[in-house]
Amino acid sequence: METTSSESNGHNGHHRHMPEIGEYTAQVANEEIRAWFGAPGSWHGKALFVAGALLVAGIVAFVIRASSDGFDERGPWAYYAAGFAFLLTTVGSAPLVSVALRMSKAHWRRGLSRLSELFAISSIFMLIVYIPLPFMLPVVDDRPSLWINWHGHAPHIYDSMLLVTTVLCGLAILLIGARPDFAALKHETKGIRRWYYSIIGGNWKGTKKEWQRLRAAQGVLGGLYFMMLIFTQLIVSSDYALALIPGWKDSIYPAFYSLTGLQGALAVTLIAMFWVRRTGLQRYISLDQFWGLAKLLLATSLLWFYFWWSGFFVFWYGRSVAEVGVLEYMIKGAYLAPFLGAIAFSFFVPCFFFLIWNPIRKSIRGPAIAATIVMLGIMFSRVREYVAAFSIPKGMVGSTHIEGILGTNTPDAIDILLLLGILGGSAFFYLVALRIFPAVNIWEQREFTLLRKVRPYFKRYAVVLGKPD
Amino acid sequence: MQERREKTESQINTDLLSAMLDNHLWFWIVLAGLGLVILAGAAAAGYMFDRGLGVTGLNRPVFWGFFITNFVFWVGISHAGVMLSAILRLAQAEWRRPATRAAEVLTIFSLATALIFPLLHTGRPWRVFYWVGLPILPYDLSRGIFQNVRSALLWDPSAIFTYLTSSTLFVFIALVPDLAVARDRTTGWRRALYATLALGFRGNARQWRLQAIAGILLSALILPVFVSVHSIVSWDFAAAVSVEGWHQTIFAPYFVIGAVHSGVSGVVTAMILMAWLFKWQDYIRPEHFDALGRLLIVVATAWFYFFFIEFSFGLFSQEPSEIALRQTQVFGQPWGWMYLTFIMASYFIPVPLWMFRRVRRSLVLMFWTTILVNIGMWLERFLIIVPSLMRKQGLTFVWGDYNPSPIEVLLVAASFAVVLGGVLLFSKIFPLIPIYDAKEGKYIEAEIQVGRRTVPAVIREE
Repeated sequence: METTSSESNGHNGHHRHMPEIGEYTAQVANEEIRAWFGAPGSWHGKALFVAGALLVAGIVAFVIRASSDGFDERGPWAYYAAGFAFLLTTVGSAPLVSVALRMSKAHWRRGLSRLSELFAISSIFMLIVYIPLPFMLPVVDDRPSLWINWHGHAPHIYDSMLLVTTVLCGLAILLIGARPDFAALKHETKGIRRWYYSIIGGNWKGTKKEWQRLRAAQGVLGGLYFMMLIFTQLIVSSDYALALIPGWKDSIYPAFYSLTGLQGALAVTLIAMFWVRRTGLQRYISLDQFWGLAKLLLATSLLWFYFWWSGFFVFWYGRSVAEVGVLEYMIKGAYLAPFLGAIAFSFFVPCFFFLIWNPIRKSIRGPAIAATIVMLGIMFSRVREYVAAFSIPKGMVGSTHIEGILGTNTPDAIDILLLLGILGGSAFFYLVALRIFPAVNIWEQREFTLLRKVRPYFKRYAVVLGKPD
Repeated sequence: MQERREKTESQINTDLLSAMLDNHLWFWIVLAGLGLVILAGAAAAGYMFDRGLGVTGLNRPVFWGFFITNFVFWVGISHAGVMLSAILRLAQAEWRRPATRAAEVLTIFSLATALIFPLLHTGRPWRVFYWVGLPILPYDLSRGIFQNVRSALLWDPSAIFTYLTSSTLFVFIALVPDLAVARDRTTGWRRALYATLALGFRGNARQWRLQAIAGILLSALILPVFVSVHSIVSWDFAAAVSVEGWHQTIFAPYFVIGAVHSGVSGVVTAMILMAWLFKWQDYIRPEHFDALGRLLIVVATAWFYFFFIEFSFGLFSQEPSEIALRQTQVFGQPWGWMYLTFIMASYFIPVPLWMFRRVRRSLVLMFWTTILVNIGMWLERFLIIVPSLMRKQGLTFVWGDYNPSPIEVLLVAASFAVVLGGVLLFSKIFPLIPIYDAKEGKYIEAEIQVGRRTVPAVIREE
C-alpha cells in the first residue's frame, strides 16, 4: 500500500526532515524479510558450527562427570544446576518480552516479537538440561518447603510438570503467531519445509474470524505463559536453592529470581536483536526497538538492587544465628567473589556506565553491550545461589542454620565445559530456529504499515500511530 | 479507544476553571459536613491528649492499632501521585492527562494526613521534639540522648517529608502554566495570588521548554523517593524480629505494590467524583477508566503475587508459631471474616469484574469496585499489625486482644474528612485537571484511515 513517499511530495516549501521510520511499504517488508530468511548469510553456518562444538564439549563433560561422580552427591553438579537456573532466567523467560509488550500494545514490539518468541525453541534444550536435576533433590520431609505436608516426591513431579507446561506454552505462542507467515510461505517452498509449513500454517486463509481467533489465542496463551513462568520460577527457586541452604528463609528471593528472569529475557533479546541486525533487517530491528528495551533493562537493573537490598537489609537487621550464617556464607565468605560479580554486572556497571546515559541508551551498540554485561551478572548470581545451595553437605540440609565455616566450590575444567556446553546448546537451538521461522514477524510488519502514517506537522514531519483498541 | 470531544481552547479554559470560579451550593454543604467530622475528630484528639492513651483500645501487647493502620493506609494512598503522574508521563501514556493533577493532590493531602497519626499515636505530640532533636530545640541532645540512625523509625519521617516536599514541588511545577491562565481570568486577591505563583509565566518557547524539562527531571528524581517511602514504612515492621509474621524480606516491595494498588484505586474514585460533581465528563471519559482499569488489573495481580509469597513463606519453614499465626489470621475470630473480606474486596471481586470492558467503562461500577479495594487494603494493614502483635513472642508475658475505642474510630473518620476536604478546597483555588495538558492532548490527537475504518491515533514527533 502507499505510505509516506506520496505524502511527502506535496509539502509546502519548509525544509522538513522526513523520518526514516515511514519509508517502507507492506510489499517491501514482505520481500526483505523473506529474502533474509531464505539466505541469512555465511555467518549462520559458522555460528552454528561454534555453538555445536560447544554443545558437543558439554555433552562430553556431562558423560565424564556422570561416570566419575554419579548422581548421588549434589556438589559435583552444582555448576550444572547453576547453568540450568541461568537458562531459566534468560532464554527460558525470553518469550515474556513479546508477551508483555503485546499485552501493553506497544507498537515498537513488532520488530522484536518473533526474536523473543524463538527462544521457546531454546527452552526445549533447557528442559533436556533439567532432566537429571530432580533426582538430586531431597524429599520435602527433610527440609523447608512450600509443598507443606505434600510428602513423598512432590517437588520432583510438580516442578517438572510446571516446567514442561511453561515450555509448551511458550512454544504454542511461537507456533500460533507464526501461522499466518507459514501459510504465506508454504506456497514458495518445497520438501520438508513445505510439509511443516503446511501443518503449522494449516488452512489459514486470513478471514476476519481467523484473525480474531489468533488474537484471542495470543491473549489467553500470553496470560497463561506469564502465570506459569512466574510460578515455575517461584518453585524452582525455592526447591533448588532456598530450601537447601539452612536458615535461608528469604521470601523476596523468588520475586528477585523472577525479576532477574525479566532482566535476562530483555538482555538475551537485545543480544539476539543486535546480531541479527548486523546481518540485515535493519529497517525492522531499528533504534526504536533498542531504545525501548534499553529503558526496560535500566528499570529492571535498578530494581535488581532494590530487591537485593530489601532482602539483605532485613537479614542484616535481624542478626539471628540463621541470618548471620547465610550472610557469612553467601555474601561475605565463600561466595564473596560471585556476589561482587553479580552486583557489579547486574546493577552497577550496566546502570551507571551505560543505561543511565541518554546517548548510550538511545543507540544500537550501547544497549547490546549493557545486555551482555547483564548476562554475565546473571551468571554470577546463579553461581552464587545454586552452587552455594548444591554445595551444602547432605546432612546439613534441613538444619535451622549453617554450622561451621563452609568452603567455596570452585569450578574445575569439567564444570566450565558443562557451562559452556549449556550456553552453546541453547545458542545452537536458537540458530536452528532462525532457519525454521522468519526472524521478523511478516504479518505484524504488514499490519504496522497500515497503522503508521507520516504526516507534515507544523514545520516538521511526525509519525501518526493508529491505536485501534 | 479515544473518544474525542472537539473543544476550543477557550472552551477548555472555561470548563476547567468553572470549579474555581463558579459557586456551587453542594460544594459548601459538603465542605461543612466534612468540617463537622474534622471538628469531631479534633475534639476526640483533645480528649485523648487530656486523658491519655488509656481512652484508646491500645493495651499490652497490642500497642499499634487503628492509628498505625491508618498511617500505613494513607502513606499507601499517597503512592498514586507518582505512579500516575511521573511513571505515566515518562511512559508517554496519553490517557494520563486528566488524572495526573488529582493523583498528585491526593498524594499531598494523604501524606500530610498520614503524618498526623504517628503524632497522635504518641499520646503526647509535643514530645515529638524528644524524637527529632531539632538543632534549634536541643532538649534531648543536651542530655546526651541521640537518635538511633539505624532505626527505620527515624528514616520514616525523613522519607515522608522528602516525598511531601518533592510532591509539592511536582504539583507546583505542573501548575505554573495553569496559574498563568487563572491570573489572566481573575481579579482582586485571586489575581494577586495567581500572579505571584505563576512566576511571570507568559507561555514563550523558553518557558515551555524549561517547564517540560523540569517536569521530566522531577518525574525521574521522585521515583527513588516514591519507592523508599513505603519501603521504609515496611521496615518499621520487618526489622522487628520478635513479632511473628513481620520479619520478612519481601515486605518492602509488597508494601510498595500494595500502596500503588490502593493509591490508583483511590485516584479512580476521586476522578469519578470529579466527573460527577464538576460535570467534566468531556474530559474524564470512559476511555480513561478503561485504561486505568487495565492498569489496575496488572497492579492488583502483581500485588496478589507478593501477597501469596508473603503468606506462603510464613509456612515455608514450618515453624509451629508461624503456622499458628496464619491460622489465627485466617480461621480465628473475629479475624477470619475480616481476612475473607480483605481478600475478596482487594482482589477476587474487583479483578474479575475489571476483566470486562463494559465494567471498566462504567463509572458507577468502577466507583464501587475501587472503594471496595480500599476497604480491603485498609483491612490488610490492620490484619498485618494486630494479630501479629497479639501473639508477640519473646519478652511478652501477656497475650491480649484489641478493641478500638470510639475515639480511634472518630479520628480515623476525621482523617478521611481531612483528605476529602483538602482536595475539595484545592479545587476551589486551583484547577484540578491540568488545563495545559488537556490542550496539549488535543494537539496530538489524530485519526487515520485503515480501509473503511477510521482509527484514533496519536502523533509522535520524530
